[in-house]
Formats: sequence, structure tokens, C-alpha cells
Amino acid sequence: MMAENIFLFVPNLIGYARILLAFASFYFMPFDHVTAITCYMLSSGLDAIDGHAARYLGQGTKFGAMLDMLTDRCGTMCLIIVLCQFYPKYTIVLMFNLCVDIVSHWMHTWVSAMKGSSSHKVIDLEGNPILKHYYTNRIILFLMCAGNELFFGTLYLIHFTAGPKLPIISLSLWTSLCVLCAPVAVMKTVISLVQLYAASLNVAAIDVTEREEAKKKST
Amino acid sequence: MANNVFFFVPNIIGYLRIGIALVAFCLMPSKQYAAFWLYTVSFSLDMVDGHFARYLQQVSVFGSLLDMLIDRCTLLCMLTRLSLCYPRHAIVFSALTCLDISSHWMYMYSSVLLGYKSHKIVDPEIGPLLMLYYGNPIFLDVVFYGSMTFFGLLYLVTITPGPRVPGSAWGVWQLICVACAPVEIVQIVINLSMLHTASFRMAAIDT
Repeated sequence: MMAENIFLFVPNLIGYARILLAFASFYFMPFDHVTAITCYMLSSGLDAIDGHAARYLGQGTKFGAMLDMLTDRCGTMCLIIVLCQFYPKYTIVLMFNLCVDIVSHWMHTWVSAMKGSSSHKVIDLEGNPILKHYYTNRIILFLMCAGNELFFGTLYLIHFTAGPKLPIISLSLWTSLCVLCAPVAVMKTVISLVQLYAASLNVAAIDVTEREEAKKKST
Repeated sequence: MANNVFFFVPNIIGYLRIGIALVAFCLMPSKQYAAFWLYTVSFSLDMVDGHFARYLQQVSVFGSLLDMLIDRCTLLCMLTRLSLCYPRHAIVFSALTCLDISSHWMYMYSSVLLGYKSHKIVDPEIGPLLMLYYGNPIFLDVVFYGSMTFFGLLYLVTITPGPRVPGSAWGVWQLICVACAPVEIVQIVINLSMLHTASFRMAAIDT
């Protein structure tokens, strides 16, 4: 059965390994930061590999892409849930960040699925000045995502240890990285909100078109 | 023209739901009763917006997406709060969050790829359980509202078991919470079924 083969494609097998590593990470997160961060980083590291494997072996699939994205979203979710336990005073801010992350990605995937399977013209997000650099420049995209992950990762580590002291400036490593990456995390949230707004306009435009077509049919 | 869709009555009810839920979650650390009732009002309004949409002919794709996302985020935030209330069981709530989000996401995405206007379409290949869930609105409502009530009460009982039920050692909130637990089990099975169906749909699309 062809369907069985898809589930056994190499990039998807790597995807299952990512999920298992992520589960292991969550198990250790509340109490063993070294094992937790190691598993989390291994899981993220495999994310770079499965893309290459997919291209090299010609095994890119929509299923694999969805698996990848869901693993990323769930990883972020579980990390933020643990952060809420460590910093209960900031629960609302963390919840807000999580909801924006989930909703903006969800709308984005919905719009791109519609783009693929319908003739509706979709607003070109790259036309928006803020988003243009984000989407077209792979380095900026990578730095934003990495900075965002680093912010939450160091926020997690600080609960256990401030990290080794850096020479000369005598600041702790994790605390310094966390403070440095904080603006990146804020910027990424702002960009997600812009993405969300653009996607909403697209969806509303689809609704308008469909309603007009329905009216024409009934007259 | 797009602005009209954003101002449809059912969508305004959606924005109201978001506002009420936001206040509920802000109040959860301190004013627990108020927070619980606001949370309940927020998810209960879900019963109302569908009726308005059909009655006023204001059904929209934006509205159904908004509805789905509000449900997902409300549940997500409640499960996060429950991780704080029951820290020893936080991993269970994290797992439920991942299951809820991934199952709905993959299922909805596979529906869009197949060209279905709504993921609630009953496609003959989805299997008996999902056919029941999406084909029978009463079943869907009982499962959805039952599981949301279950989590809300799981939160409330950390404050009070409720007035004592005559003839038992339990409070009324504890009793209703336990009664709703099987509904949540059903919801979990349905989520797993959604994941399973969606995976096979996507594999079929990829072939």
C-alpha cells in the first residue's frame, strides 16, 4: 500500500524520533534541566536534518511538513507551560504569547492550503513592508526563530542556574543571553500579530467572494 | 467589503468570548469563583453564535475559523492553569494540550486540502466514531461542553468541593466533575481518531 510507504519515509522516521525526544525533554523539564535541554536541542537539531533528507531523497511530503510544524508548536507549548510553573506571576503574558504563536501559524497554514487548492487570489504577504524582510531573507528568519527559542530556553535555564560567569564583563551567561534575546521574542510576537491580521484579511476576502457568488446564483 | 465580515454578529460574539475568557484567566489566581463562571460563560456562548450565524445568514469561513481557534485557545489556557493547580500531574495536562491542538490542526488542514468547506463535513471515509461526532450535533455538543465543564470543575474543586450533596461525603462540584470525566475520555478517543484519519488522508494526498 502506497500509504504505508509515506509513513516510513526517512524524513518522517526522523520526525517520529523528534517527537520521542521532545516527550523525553518534557518528562525531565520540571526537575532535570541538563537532560531536558539536551533532548530539546537534539530534537531541534534533527529538524535541520529531516529537511535535507527530504530534499536529498526526494521524500518531501505534506504529511512530513505538518508533522514537523506540529512538533515545533507542541515543543513550544510544553516549554511555555513549564515556564508558567516556574514564573506563575507571568502566566498571562506567557499564555498570550502561546496563543499568538498557535493562532498565527494556524491561520498561515490555512491560507497557504487555500492558496494551493483554490483559485482565490491571496494577498501577497511579501508586499507588506514589515513581513517582506522576514520572509525573503533566510538569515533574518533564522535569527528571529533562533533568538526567540533562545529567549525561552534561557528563561527556563535561569530557574536552575544563572550560568557560568563571563570573563571581563562578569555577567552570567544564561541571564545575559536571555536579556539579549528578549527584544527578539517581542519582535517575533509583533510579526506574528501582523501575519495574523494579513491572514484574517485573506480569509475575509474569500468570504466576500463566496457570498457574492452565492448572491449571483440566487438571482 | 472585508470589514463587513469582521462585524458579523456571530463574529462579534466571538470577540466577546475572547474578552470574557481573557478576564477569566486574569482572575484565576485571585478571584476563583468569578473566574470559573466567566470561563463557563465564554465557552457557553459558543452555543449561541452558530444560531445567530444561520438565522442572520452570516455564516462565514472567517467565523468558523475564529470559533475553532477560540475553542482551542480557551482549552489551552485552562489546561495551562490546571498544570499550575496540579503541578504533579502537569505532564498529563501538557499531553492533553498537544493532543487537542495537533488532532484538530491536522484534521482541519487535511479537510481544506481535500476541498471541504468545513472540517465538520461528514466524509464517508472517516469511520463510525467521527461520523457520529460530526454527523450528530447533539453528540458533539455533549462531548465538547462536557469536557470543557470537566476542566472548569477540576479547577473549581481546588478551591471548594461545593455544597455537600445530601447522602454522600462529596460536594456538588466534585460530583459533577467526576460525572464529566468519562466524557473527557470519549473526547480523547475522538482526538486520537482525528489524528489517525487525518494522517491517512494526508498520506493519500501525498501519493
